[in-house]
Amino acid sequence: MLIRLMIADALRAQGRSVVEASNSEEALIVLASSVPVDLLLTDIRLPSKMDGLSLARSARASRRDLKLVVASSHHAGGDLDAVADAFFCKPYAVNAVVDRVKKLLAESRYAAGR
Amino acid sequence: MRQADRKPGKATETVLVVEDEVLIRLVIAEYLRDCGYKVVEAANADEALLVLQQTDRRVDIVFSDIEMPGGMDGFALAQWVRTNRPGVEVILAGSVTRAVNAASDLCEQGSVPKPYEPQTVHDRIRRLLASRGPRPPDSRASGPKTLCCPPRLISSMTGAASCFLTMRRAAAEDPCAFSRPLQTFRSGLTRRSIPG
Repeated sequence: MLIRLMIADALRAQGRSVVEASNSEEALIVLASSVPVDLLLTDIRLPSKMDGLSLARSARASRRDLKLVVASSHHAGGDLDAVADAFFCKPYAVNAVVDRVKKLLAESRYAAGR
Repeated sequence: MRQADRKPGKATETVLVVEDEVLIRLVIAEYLRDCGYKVVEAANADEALLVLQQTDRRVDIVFSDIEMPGGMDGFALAQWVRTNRPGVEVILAGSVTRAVNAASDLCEQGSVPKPYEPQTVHDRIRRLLASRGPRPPDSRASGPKTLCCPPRLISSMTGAASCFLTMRRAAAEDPCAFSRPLQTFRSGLTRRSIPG
């Protein structure tokens, strides 16, 4: 949770609008709502029945345009590379995550503008 | 939300929003950020405690739902704050009947009934911060904040009067809830010390 706060603060300091979800269930509620979401950043280990990789798969299935960044203490293997746009191994530098988010969102805007 | 009603808070004033329903939490959190507050979000009391236990992290106000899943509800959280972070003010949000039963002991400004308008929450926060005066935020040396007045001074104390009025309004809606909180309120006041 404290990592979530740190990342959220860093992203807000960059001018991003950040929606915080404490677990997969909350994330799915937000994704299903009218709240505009361009990028999902999730840890694989979450305090919920659904882990972050399953959340990422579910989000990818319903939102092909959604950018996905996954963080974990180890590479989950499998289809992670196919699902996620970026992967960060913990411990990671917050600045590195913020920079990657910035680049991915810029890619989205470029693609949308075509 | 009306832009004219949003008066910017000081950049350093921090509100901890504790709410288990994510869509409610994000609306009130974003509203308060737009009002100029720094906002920290917690999905439940356990997360709130993680934040509050960081004594180097400034928190001026805790705005918490009363009914939350987990081992600790808003009342217990407010009690923890009163004991461990005495300079931090607490505003509870919940159903009026339940809130008035305990809010008088825990929150000088009573509670905010749900569903609430974000502007109402902002107004309550502004009043609390304004009434705090020059006392430094989260000052452990100041001790726990209590109502601290004998019954005859109720009408002259904004906080107590506000709380009492909240209870009277609640009683008008639910007469069964009135006699118990009033008795608790009065007996609690006579037990409390008169400030020096």
